[in-house]
Amino acid sequence: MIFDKRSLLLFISNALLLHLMLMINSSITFAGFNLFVLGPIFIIAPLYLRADQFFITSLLTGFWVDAALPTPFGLVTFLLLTIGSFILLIRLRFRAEKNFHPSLLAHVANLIAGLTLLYFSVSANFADFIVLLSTSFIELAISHLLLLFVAPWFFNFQRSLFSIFDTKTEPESLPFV
Amino acid sequence: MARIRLDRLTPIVTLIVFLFIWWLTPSFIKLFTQSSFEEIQAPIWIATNHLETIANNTANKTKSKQALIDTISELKRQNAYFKQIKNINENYKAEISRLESILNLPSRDRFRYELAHVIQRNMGSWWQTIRINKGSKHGIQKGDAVIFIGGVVGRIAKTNYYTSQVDLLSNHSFRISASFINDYRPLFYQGKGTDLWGQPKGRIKNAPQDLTTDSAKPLQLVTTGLGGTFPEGITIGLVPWLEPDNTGMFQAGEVQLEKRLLGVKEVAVLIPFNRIETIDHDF
Repeated sequence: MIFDKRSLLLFISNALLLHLMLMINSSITFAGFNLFVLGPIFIIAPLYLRADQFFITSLLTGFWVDAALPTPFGLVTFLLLTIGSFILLIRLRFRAEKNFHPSLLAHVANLIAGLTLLYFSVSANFADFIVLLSTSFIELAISHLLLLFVAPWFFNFQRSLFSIFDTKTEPESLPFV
Repeated sequence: MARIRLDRLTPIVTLIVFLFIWWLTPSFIKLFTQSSFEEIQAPIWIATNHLETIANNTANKTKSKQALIDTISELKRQNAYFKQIKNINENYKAEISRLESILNLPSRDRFRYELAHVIQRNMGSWWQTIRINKGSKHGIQKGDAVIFIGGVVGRIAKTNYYTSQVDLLSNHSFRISASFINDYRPLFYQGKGTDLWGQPKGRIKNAPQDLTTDSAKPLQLVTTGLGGTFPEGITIGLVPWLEPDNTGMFQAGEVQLEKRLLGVKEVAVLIPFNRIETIDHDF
């Protein structure tokens, strides 16, 4: 197995997005809500990398995110691997070199991850279900609005990193022939 | 009938194998992995906090000299005031020690105060936690009380070597014995998360029937000291209304928490003296 430099680049860029999100959340506590824009970290690895490299990247990113967020350890890793594996299976259907399909996928992944985290919050506190649901809906709505800008920027940033570090800039296994 | 390409299923097989291995992995290995990643991240958060401090200092340099002189004058006034209070407190402490020695009472100083900076805040509908820049290296352990100028902040949920995670007072998992000020009957407090406007809330149960309150003059809720984690009399919040609970024997109500809790920057961790002595004996 030859190590793909892009795995490391994707892991670092994913960690950067997480750090930026947490920094912003840390600064907007007066608003009383958290932004959740981790959808884009699910996308580029399964679209661009080979299966083994995707697995390594997702595992590292998942553990990193799990350690940073107050979630049950392994939850985000599980989501990254599950959603990523599904994308990997049908990746020939997506145009990874443009932003439209990855952005759509990022929204779907973000929603699935958000709803999973909401499920874990609800199971910890069933008494205030309606309030929790309402505030989570507001948070997710604002997060998805922000994601409209964040996702294309992030994907362009990751592709720029591929170019800067002189790695392959095209996805693996695309039917170009 | 189309043939199924088994090689395409490799990611799914890998995922299933990984999940199976993860399920079989002993919990100490998972804990070790988690701790390792958290320890790697700790310096990044501390460095971010330093950068933020530098940015604030740089922003302060743009202020005019007159503004700085005014601030220094105000600080001098406050300094003089607090020095007087410190002297009075020292006199009180000496008096208490003298009386304790006469009556052979155990010392009332049960905690050491470890001051810490807040380096990260997670305050949304899913989580109410903060991260501070002190950890097990400084003697902090899981369950230790955390307070600030406005009262109770929360409880240590997890410690790493350099950092700790604190479950806030508004966290759903935060429960504590409380009482109203000047009323020594204990009741039950639990965090309630944030409301639709993002304000942290809590709720109380088992309040006595004879208590009344109103929003103009709400009752103040304080810690009881039961359980030993928090000392007695530290502010939790204000209770603007009470209503009969579902048993009909007691009252329940919502607790308005201190607004400064959302932007808390400096906290103090209360570390019991007894435990420190135990640690010293161990080493």
